[in-house]
Amino acid sequence: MTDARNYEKTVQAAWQAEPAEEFMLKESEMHAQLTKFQRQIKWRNILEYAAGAAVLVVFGAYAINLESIWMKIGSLLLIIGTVFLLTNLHFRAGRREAPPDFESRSFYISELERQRDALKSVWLWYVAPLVPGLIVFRIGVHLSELQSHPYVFDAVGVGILGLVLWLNARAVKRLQRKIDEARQLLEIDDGEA
Amino acid sequence: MTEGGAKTEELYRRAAGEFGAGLARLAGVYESNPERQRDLLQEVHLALWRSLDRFKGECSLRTWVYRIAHNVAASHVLRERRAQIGNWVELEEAALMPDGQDVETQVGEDRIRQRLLEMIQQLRLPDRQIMHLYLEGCDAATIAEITQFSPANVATKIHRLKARLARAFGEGDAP
Repeated sequence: MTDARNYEKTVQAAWQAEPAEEFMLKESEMHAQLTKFQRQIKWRNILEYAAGAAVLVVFGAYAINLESIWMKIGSLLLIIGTVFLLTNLHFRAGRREAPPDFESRSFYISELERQRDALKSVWLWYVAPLVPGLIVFRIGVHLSELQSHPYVFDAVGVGILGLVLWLNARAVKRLQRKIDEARQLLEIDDGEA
Repeated sequence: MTEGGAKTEELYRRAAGEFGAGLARLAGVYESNPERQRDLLQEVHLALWRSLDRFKGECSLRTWVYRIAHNVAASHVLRERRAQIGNWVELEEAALMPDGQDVETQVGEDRIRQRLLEMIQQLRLPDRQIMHLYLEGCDAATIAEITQFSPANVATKIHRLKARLARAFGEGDAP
């Protein structure tokens, strides 16, 4: 019979004796993965900046060419709002490029919390900056009688905005559930970093 | 390559050389599917490489490597949701080979390893981390440092784990 005191050494030796295939990332594989991360972030940013640039060009042209003072002012407000939005996007996207804090037990939770907080505040830094310009521009459209069914477009616009905010709110709830579950499974208290 | 990049690469090669086998076993602890195990192992190595430029020697390389690896593996499991989270158990409840069987009667090390793997894959994540590190030969203080659990918590869990394994490999049921 094996001495119970020796079982520990035997079990550990058996565990560590498992033949393991040698695995080491080659530098080329490493750089390929890092390039892939950076490329994903870069393309996401390019699309968002391109959309912002298009808004600046279109409403810049409106501000110069349209006769209605309301539409001119609305265009300028939209330009200011878009610059504010792009600036926010730059600083938030910039933080995403840093590698996660893998040495923290709750780094996965931190990533989820960052996504949740960004979505929670999207109405503030993404939607709200555009609202004053949209309202003023819309007044200009109404006074210029450029649209035959203005209230239909208003309803559609408000509907789209409402849908975006509702989808965001659902995504926030889903992320919060994932965060709570992860805390429980990792046995991380609320006070822990 | 920059000087910093060369240093990181050198550190990574040292870490992968010294702890590569342990990391491969760790991937098996968290992922039973062989293909996804390889993906997880790659993910761990990638995270290790990316994190090493932050390593300033404030702990041993072993502590750093296993801390990164366990954190990445745990997040893999949570993200993939492939494990049946609801079926995870605590140390005392995990099934192992029949109690009282002497280790010399087992069919070699392979059988022992298989049984240990079956047990460890049932465990809740914190217990899984502790059992893996214990099997890799880490003492309680090192396990507490790696996992960032309290030393008292780790000591209690190791005591329970040893009792569980002693019943399975020792001379019959412990009182």
